[in-house]
Amino acid sequence: MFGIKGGQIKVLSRDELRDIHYATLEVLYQTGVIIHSSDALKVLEDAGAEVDFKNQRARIPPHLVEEALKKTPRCFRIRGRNPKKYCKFEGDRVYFSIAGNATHVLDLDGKRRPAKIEDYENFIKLSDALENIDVSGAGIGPLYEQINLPEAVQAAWRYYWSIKNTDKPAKLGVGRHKQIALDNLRMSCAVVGDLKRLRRTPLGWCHVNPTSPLILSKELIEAALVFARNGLPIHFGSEVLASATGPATLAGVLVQQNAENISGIVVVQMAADPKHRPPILYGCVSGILDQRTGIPALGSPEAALLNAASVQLAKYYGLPSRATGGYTESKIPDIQAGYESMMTLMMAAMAGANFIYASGGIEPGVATISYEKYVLDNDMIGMIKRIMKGIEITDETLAVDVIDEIGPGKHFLAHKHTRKWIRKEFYFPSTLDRKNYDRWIREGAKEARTLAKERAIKILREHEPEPLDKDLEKELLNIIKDIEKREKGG
Amino acid sequence: MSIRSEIKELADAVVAGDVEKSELIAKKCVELKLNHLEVINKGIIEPLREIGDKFGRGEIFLSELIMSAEAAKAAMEVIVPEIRKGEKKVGYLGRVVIGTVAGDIHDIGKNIVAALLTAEGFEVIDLGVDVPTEKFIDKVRELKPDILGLSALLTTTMPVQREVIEALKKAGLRDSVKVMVGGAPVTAEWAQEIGADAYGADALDAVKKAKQLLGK
Repeated sequence: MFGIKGGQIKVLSRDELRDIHYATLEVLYQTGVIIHSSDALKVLEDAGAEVDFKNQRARIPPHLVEEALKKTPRCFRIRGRNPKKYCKFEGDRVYFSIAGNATHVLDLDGKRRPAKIEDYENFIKLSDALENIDVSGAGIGPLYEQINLPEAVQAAWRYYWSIKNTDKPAKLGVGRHKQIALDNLRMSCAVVGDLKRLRRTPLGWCHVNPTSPLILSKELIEAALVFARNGLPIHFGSEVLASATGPATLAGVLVQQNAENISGIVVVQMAADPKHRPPILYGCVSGILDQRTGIPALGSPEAALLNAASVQLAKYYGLPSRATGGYTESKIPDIQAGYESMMTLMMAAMAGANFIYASGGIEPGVATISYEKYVLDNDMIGMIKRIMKGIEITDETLAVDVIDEIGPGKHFLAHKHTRKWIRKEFYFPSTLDRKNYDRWIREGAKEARTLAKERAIKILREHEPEPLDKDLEKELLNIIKDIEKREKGG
Repeated sequence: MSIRSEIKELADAVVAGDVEKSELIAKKCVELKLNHLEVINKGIIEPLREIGDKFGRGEIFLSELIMSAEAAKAAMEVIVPEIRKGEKKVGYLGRVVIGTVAGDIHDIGKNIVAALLTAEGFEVIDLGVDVPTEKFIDKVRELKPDILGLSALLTTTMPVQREVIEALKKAGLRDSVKVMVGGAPVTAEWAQEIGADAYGADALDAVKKAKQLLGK
């Protein structure tokens, strides 16, 4: 799957990107980072960083940064259960996904309640059906109903529900803990065959969010090291909140985020086997702290700007990029949700982010995932994809002959050129109403949310994802049983 | 009786969020043997309350509130130790020990809660992040706080809140302190399930609940 071509928007000049880069080098060497892992600290010390083991502080010199960036592969791809469904994170190719670690669900009956296993599987199924979603996702994190289970068991089940309900790329990665990372590799090797094949086309990556300011936490960096040493991709993406966990100035946020991401990149590249260098996905989840409420605002214009700039920074380094878009702080799929989601998604896409994460959710922190919004966001993505597709200029599309054939005063509706091109040129949204007033009233005066709800219900009722191969299913379930036994008995 | 100029200066420093100046003037007030009650009430608590009200009305921002709270805290830390035995206990609404539970290093939310509680007039002892459960127990025993606040940002570290409450029971301390829990994934249902006394939905709610817990 080619993805859609982005990169139409640039918010920083090359000189400005360089300024940010040099400022970042200063921060990494002058201030450094704290890493809660003696393994990682040793890697850095051996590579030439100044490490204070007692305070777990590392100062990374510029030459190490340059070396690590140079050693990082410039692209990678991920695939789904179905190898024909893949994403290539390179250049200006843009892919869209659903995301979040929501704890709650805004159900189709309008009720907000804790997310359940059924919801998890439903959302994967939805993303499997929705035509504009490239990478599947439930948008749901650890479930309250599983809260008493060991984290490793919870993670394994989420992996299974994901792969069972879609054959699209499903970002079957991991976030925390060395052991969970190893479990993840075990399950992924079962899917593709072996580690060599997995390296060639991974199923996901290790998803790390540094803790701002300037901390790499134990569970995250240890999971990253597992992936690094196996040559598998790692995402580093900070969520710096301007004025709270980072400077109030957006330039300062970019510098700090850059330092946090790069510190992770240095650790993993220096730890990796030179034969299998881990690809990197450079991410931005940054935004502002709303100074009136003390709550993070990632659906803000500032966040949109930060994401576009971060994507440029990633491209400056030649790295695949992840941006956050489709975000909203609204509690319902309303006008605020529309504004914020469209604004953030558009900026991220047109900046050319290879992977865009976080549609489908509502509320600060994507605390809730909404069935309606999921479907609405699919249309939003579709509209953006249409814009990014651009205007094709050929003799046929210039249509000089057609215009001449039809002539002044006549119409184009019945021409075969029209019939051929309407399907290629127009995007047909499934949840946005374009009828005139009278007809709209006659047909129930439905607003977008209602249309989205109807579509969600229809998909959940009718859509059947490609069934999971029975042998693979058995193998994965056996691995889960193994993990459960291990966690129980130690 | 008109207010002493030093007390007015202290009030201004608190409003301006000037930590160094507040500390300096508080020390001056002590040297001049000014009435402790008056210094605390007129120089710190009243101006801070006004700042809190302004924040509530949307007239000033969180950072400004936090800076004022820090200035107030610095001044209180100078004055309160000077209050001798026998003198009327003044100042704090109550004592709160707060921290992020073991295994979790997120603290911005907790820091905002701590600042708002300070602004409201509580004495807040912040134990930081990744606080071992044993340390919470030790500090409750040592400091005898009115409220123990536990923060967790991840669904995976939330269960530690329950562990702390269980540890309090085991140490025979559960009834000596009110426990409030908070953090993004925390819900009222969870708080009830683990036997917490209160749940703060956000920083402002935490302050409201803290006051309720103390019957204020």
